[in-house]
Parts: sequence; C-alpha cells; structure tokens
Amino acid sequence: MILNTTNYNNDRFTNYFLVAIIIHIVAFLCLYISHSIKLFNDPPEKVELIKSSVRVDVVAMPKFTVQELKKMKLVPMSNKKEIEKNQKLKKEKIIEEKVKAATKKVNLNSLFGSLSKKDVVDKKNDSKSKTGTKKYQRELNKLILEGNKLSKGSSTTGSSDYSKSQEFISYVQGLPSIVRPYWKLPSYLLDKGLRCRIQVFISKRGEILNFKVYESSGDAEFDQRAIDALKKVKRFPDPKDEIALRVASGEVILGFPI
Amino acid sequence: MKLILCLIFTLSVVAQDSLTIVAVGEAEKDNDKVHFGSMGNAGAKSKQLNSILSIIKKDFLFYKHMFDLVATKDDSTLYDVSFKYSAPKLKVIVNSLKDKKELLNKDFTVLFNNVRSFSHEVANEIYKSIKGVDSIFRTKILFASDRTGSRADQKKELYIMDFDGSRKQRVTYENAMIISPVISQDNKTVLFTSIESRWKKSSTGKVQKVKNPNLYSYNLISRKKTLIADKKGINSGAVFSEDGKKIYLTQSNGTNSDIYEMDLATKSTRRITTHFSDDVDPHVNRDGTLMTFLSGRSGKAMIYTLDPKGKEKDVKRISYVGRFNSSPRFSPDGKQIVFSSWVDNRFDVYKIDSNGQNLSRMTKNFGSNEEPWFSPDGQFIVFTSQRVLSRKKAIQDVYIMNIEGEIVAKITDNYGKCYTPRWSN
Repeated sequence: MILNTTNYNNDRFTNYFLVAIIIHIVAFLCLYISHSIKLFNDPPEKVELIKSSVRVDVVAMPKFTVQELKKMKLVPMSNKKEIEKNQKLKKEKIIEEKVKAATKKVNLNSLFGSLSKKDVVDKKNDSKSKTGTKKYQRELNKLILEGNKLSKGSSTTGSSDYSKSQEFISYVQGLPSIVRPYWKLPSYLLDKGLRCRIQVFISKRGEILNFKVYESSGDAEFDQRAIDALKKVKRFPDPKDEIALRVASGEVILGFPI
Repeated sequence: MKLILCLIFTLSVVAQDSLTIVAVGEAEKDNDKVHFGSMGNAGAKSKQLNSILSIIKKDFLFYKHMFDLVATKDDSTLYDVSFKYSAPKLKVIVNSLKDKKELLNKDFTVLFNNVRSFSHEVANEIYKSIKGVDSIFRTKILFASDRTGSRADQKKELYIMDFDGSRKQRVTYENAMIISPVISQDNKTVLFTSIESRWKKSSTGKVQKVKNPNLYSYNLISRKKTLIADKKGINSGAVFSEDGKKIYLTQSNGTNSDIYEMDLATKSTRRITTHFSDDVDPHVNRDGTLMTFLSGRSGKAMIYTLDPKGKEKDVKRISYVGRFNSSPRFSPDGKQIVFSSWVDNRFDVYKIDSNGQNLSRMTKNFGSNEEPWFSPDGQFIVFTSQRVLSRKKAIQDVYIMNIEGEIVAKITDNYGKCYTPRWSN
C-alpha cells in the first residue's frame, strides 16, 4: 500500500515536472521567436557605433597650419607596430651598449694594474657576468614559471572579455585613418548628405578577404567611391589572435562617412 | 523535438551576431577635372585668341583647390570647354560630360583692345556655368602703398588692381598717409582715413595746424572726395552697413576709442560700444546682424562679436588666446572670422568660426602676415606679408591664399610696401 502511494506520488511528480518543462520551453520559445523575428527584420541589435573623438581645449594659438594638418597623415597601425619593434630593438641595443661600456670601464681600470691583475679582473668579470647571466636566467625562468601558475589573485578588476573587447575596439578605431586618405568624393557628391556602410572581412594577416555593401547610400557612384577607397587599402594591420575571428567574420562595418 | 532543438540552436547563433560600425569620416574633395579645348586656327587673330585662352586658364588655376585642368579628356573628366571663333564672335561651349548636359553656349564679342578684361569676363561665365555662382575673375583689390613716400616723408596712397595683380591704377593723390580703406557693396565708393595736417581754429580762437586721422569717402566714378568725419581723435576703420546707407567706424573723441554707427545722409551717429576699454576695427556680416570687433576689455586685444542694432548688445568674446589679435573680418556667409595674431615675434593669419569654435592656423614660416580679407565668394583670403631684409629694409607684398591655406599667388612685387588689401564685391 505504501509502495503504491509512493509510485502514485512519483508518477504525479513526473507528470507535473514534464508539464512544467513543456510550459517553460513553450514560453521560452515564444519569447525567443518574437525576439528573433525582430532580429530578422531589423539590423542586429548589438550594433555598436564607434566614432573617434578628441576633446580640444584651446590654451594657445594652433602650432600647425591647415595645410600642415592636411599633409600630416596618421601613421597606420602596422607601421606603429614596426616602430614599436624598432624602438624595442633600439632599447635592447642601448642596454647592450651600456653593458659593454661598463665592461670597458673595468678593463680600462685594469690597464693601470699589472697584466696578471688584468687577467684576474677579466676573469673575475667574466665569471661575474656569467654568474650574473645565469642568475638573471634563473630569475627569468622563475618569473615565467610563476606567471604560468594559477593563483587566487587579489584584484577584482578586469576580465579577459573586457580586455578582448578593448583590443577589438582599439583595432577597429585604427581602421578609419587607413581608409581616409583614399576616401574622396567629387564636389557634386559632397554635400548630398549621403551615407553608406560597408562590411569588411579582414584576414589574420590584415588582408581584405571580402566586403559587402551593408547599407547602400542609394547612389551607386557614392557606394562605388567608398568601395574604391577600401580597394586602395592594400593591407590593414594584423589583428591579434584573440580578435582575429571577430574581424574575419565581418563584425566590422565601415561607415562612409558615419 | 529535434526540430525544436535545431531551431533554438540556429536562433542562438543569429542572436550572438554583433556588429561594430566605425565612422571613416567626411570624404576629402576630389577636384573636378576640366578640359579646355584649343582656339583653333583663326588666322591673324590666333595669337590674341591664344592669349585669351591662356588668361582664362590662368584664372582657373586660382581655383586649384577645386579644379584640375587636364590636357586630354578621359572618363574622369567632368567638364569640357570648347571655343569656336567666327569674327567678331567667340562661341564658348561648356559641357558637363557626366550629365551629358550643355551648361553654356554663348557668343561673346571679342574685345581685342581689352583682352584681359574680356578674358576675365569669359572665364567668369565658364566658372558660373559650372558652379552656379560668380567667381573672383571680375573682382578688384584696393590697397595702400608707400611707393610715393620716402623715409623722411612717409606717405601712403590708394591703388586698385585686378584680382590677379594686373592693371594697377592709382586711386588717390592725397599726398598724405592713407589708412584702412574699404569698398562699398556696389563697388562705386571707397572710404578711407587720411592722417593729415589741417589748419584749424582752436577753442581759444588761435588758428593752428592740427594733425588728425579724418575719414573721407571717394566716388570711384566721379572721383569726388567727401569729408565724412573729422572729430578730434580717431576717425578710422570704417566699413559699410549691409545696405550701404550707414557706416560703422571707430571714433575716440579725444578719449578712449569706441564703435559708432553713422548715417551717411545725416551724419548723425549712434554709439554701439560703451566699454571703458578701447573698442576698434569693426566689421559686419552681409545681413548686418552681427559685428566683429577688437577690444582690450579682457586686458589683451581680443576678438568679440555683438549685435550692431543695439548698444553693447549680446557681446560675446570669440578669441581667448594670442598675445595680440587684429583685423577680424567676416567671411561672406558670416560663418567664419579671419584675423591676424602676434605669435613668435610676427603676425600670422588665423581663422575661427563666428561662434568661437574651430580655431585654425592659415600661415606659418611665411614672413609676418597681416590684414586678411575674404574674397566675395569666400574661397580666398588676401593678406599682406612682410619680409625683413635688413635692419633698415623690409618688403611687404600682397598675397592670395585659398580657403585651405594654400598660397595661390603673389600679386604685388616691387610696388612699395603694400598695406590693407581690400577685395571688391
């Protein structure tokens, strides 16, 4: 009897549970489909408009003329990377030179002493530098190992997603300065207030894989001028691995002019 | 069930789509390509006709920020200009190649005795057919030069020339120091201040020679000079009102300088600025709703605007930087003010929106640049530029730059030191 009651209760629970699940699924689907229909009708809701802006407080007369500013083309991001690399190399060279200079100093001091003393100093220096390098290497290895360790951490700020999105935004913000030098319109198209948006698909190596007119201006020549500007860009900077997929999947839309 | 799961998965993928729109910004202007055809073979007149064509092309080169003159037509050519001479008429045809539309088809009677004027006239018609507005080709520039004076006896007289610096003519024979000239809207009258010594009866009844800057008007057609203001102190920096019936000028009345409105018919004045600091150098926009002037009320010479219909009405400070700013002048549409400012031991030309926004520098490393003035179409700025050659010698010439700050032409050379260029309308 007891067993029967238990079975009855279990069956009733299972039935209610299934009904509840079905109701939930149906409710979820209804909401989802209504939301999705809107998605199909309108452009995706997660559209983010990035527009570079600079606040300028006038504290002195401008240094550069209109002509100078016009000629001053922004350094593309790829070039910036090269410059950074070169700067790093230069820094390394400077450090090497400093180390060399320090060694030379020791050697000059040793010149005043006897030859045997010099040898001793040199040997000492050698051994010091060798032990120094070894020590440095050990420290470096230690740091690398520590860096790879998982630790609790003490900070609650920042997240990987945030840094990724920041990376993406900074990459995307760099694109207009590369396209702008080629973005030209004849006088009869300038003041028409037209706008077109082009979706670009950029490879891991910064090449334009494909592009499509996401929003036409309604004027074929205007759209073509925007496409021509993109075609003239031979290469964009290489996107970092963490954003490469987003950039290649066409998440970037260039607005001409906005 | 499987179908539902597939549907859910598909929808979730779509929902995850996100797009980032980044603004490329406003496009740069691509110059319109214009092709000029030849004059053809016109026998004895060929040389003169070719010289007309050459002047027309040179005129168009002033607008190099708008047009590219191409030697041969191709797909990118927007306008084609062709000529056909059949004595005494020259047929000029302008075609828009893009719209396949004839913009101009006009016969001009060639004035072989005045080729330059004729060429400017034709060039203006061609420009107007393309742009729909008048060019600068028929305009003139009034300026002062010290070429008749000497170091011991300094004098400045007024001269007038074509916009390209050709056909200079002397306007005044005052034998005095003439400053701040201006041309009326109808290009018939000139206002100028003459710093002159005149015999005057003092309050004690004694007659003595008094040196004073007095304001005159000068009719360019009848060559008649009329005294407008000779009050004690400054009577200078006059400009015409929008209807030409009134003028705005600076008067000091022996105390600090202020800006006044004067009715030219009755000579009655109305004070516009009342600040205890000096207010000078007024200039009004074309519809007369806004005046820009220079004032020391902040402690430094700064640019301000006000409503000239009232007294100290809606005074707004426009410039906040610069050691010494001078000669603020409106663009024809009143949206911008061009002025010169003392920076790095010399003057340079700057431009600012009439609301105080978008300050930009127009000249640099080009001598000391002063007295800017907009062309009537707003596409150019005429100004003077000084080069110091030695402690005792300096040259000062008139230059034209386009609105993008590109120097287009030097229009005076070895014509004395030139001052205060003013563009006709």
